[in-house]
Amino acid sequence: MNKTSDLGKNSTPAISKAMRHYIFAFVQDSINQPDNFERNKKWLKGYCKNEKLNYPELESNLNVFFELLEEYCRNGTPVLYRFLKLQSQNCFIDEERFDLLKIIPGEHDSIVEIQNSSAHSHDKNTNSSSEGSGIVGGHIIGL
Amino acid sequence: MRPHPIAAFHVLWTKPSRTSALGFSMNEAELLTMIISALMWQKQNGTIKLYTDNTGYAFIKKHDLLNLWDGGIDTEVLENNSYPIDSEVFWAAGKLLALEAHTCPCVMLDTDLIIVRPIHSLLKTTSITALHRETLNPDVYLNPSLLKVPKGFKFPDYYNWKVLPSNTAFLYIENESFKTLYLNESKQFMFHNTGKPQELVSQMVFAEQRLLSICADYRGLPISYLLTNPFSLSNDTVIHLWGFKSLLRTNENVQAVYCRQLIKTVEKEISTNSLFQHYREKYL
Repeated sequence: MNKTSDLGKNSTPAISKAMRHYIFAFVQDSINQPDNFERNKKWLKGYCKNEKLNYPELESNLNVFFELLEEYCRNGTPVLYRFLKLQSQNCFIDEERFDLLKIIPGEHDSIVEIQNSSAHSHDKNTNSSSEGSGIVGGHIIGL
Repeated sequence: MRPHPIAAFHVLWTKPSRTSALGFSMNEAELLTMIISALMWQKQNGTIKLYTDNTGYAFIKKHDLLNLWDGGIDTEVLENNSYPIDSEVFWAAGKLLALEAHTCPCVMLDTDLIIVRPIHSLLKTTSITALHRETLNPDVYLNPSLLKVPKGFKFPDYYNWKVLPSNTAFLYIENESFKTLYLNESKQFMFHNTGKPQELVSQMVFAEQRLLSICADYRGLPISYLLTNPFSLSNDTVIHLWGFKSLLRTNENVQAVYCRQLIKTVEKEISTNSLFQHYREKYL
């Protein structure tokens, strides 16, 4: 029998505590004071340069984070909350700091153990009694 | 000693979507899932073949994926089939046509499903294994009196309508004899059955998923399942997009996060594969 795999090991690059703190402050301020966004971005770019961190990549990840946040605020779908939390890690925001952003989790999260999977989707490419909001085995990939 | 490889196949049947207004397409997340599904199967369990039609072949060629399936690509089975099956009603019938052509024992694997670890030992002791049981949701698995059937068709008296259907996104069948029974019953129901179901799925899921369980029950064969319930957190074997595809189709940000996360999860297993490297470079 083959070995057990190393699935799911994280390969996020290491950055300094100060940089993590600054990114978190940037995100927090962007949520609370959207008017400061462009000015803060310039500062963030400067910090990235000092830290030798790839700014375009971080900016792209932050853009995805903010867009997901905007969508989540509109519809409160639990699955989007999970993606938001996951994307925050790509922006160097750990779980503890993410909780400090005070984004309220959606209700009826389908990642919990359920006994009955009969909530169904009528997507004709979906056979058939499908929980529309989650990936089966999503936890294997960190969702 | 390395276990005996298990022969699996994917099916990409574009006929149902070609006749719809939207046409055939796969988004990047669906494409990546299919690629990783094939690569992980080869890495962990055995060989895999693709059954597709000419449109599917052209799509695969366009994406430079002709070498993805180590068992090769077959277009004859789906392209030349002349069975009287309405592809709008039976949009997954291509899977059953491919199953008919493939020799048992074999695994029919959906392109949106990834098996992440070896499962030889799970299959060794069973003659039929499906993904998981389905509940008898009456809106999906219609009462037989409500199901649309071909003209003059009558359900056999020996059908046990109480058995639970089986999700066939993963299906292992050990012997030809059971496969023939299952496919013969299925074909009798599908042929000339052209009444359009209002809920889009009832005839297809009957022909594919409920009939599998009914036939196994009739033969007295137990069905094993990879998962006791689909969303169990103790599942360390299967990633299946299932109904999540609809969100992926409409949300590019979710798609990007999903692709990145999937690549990070499996990269140590298949990092040397050149097809995979292309996506790794794009997302990580």
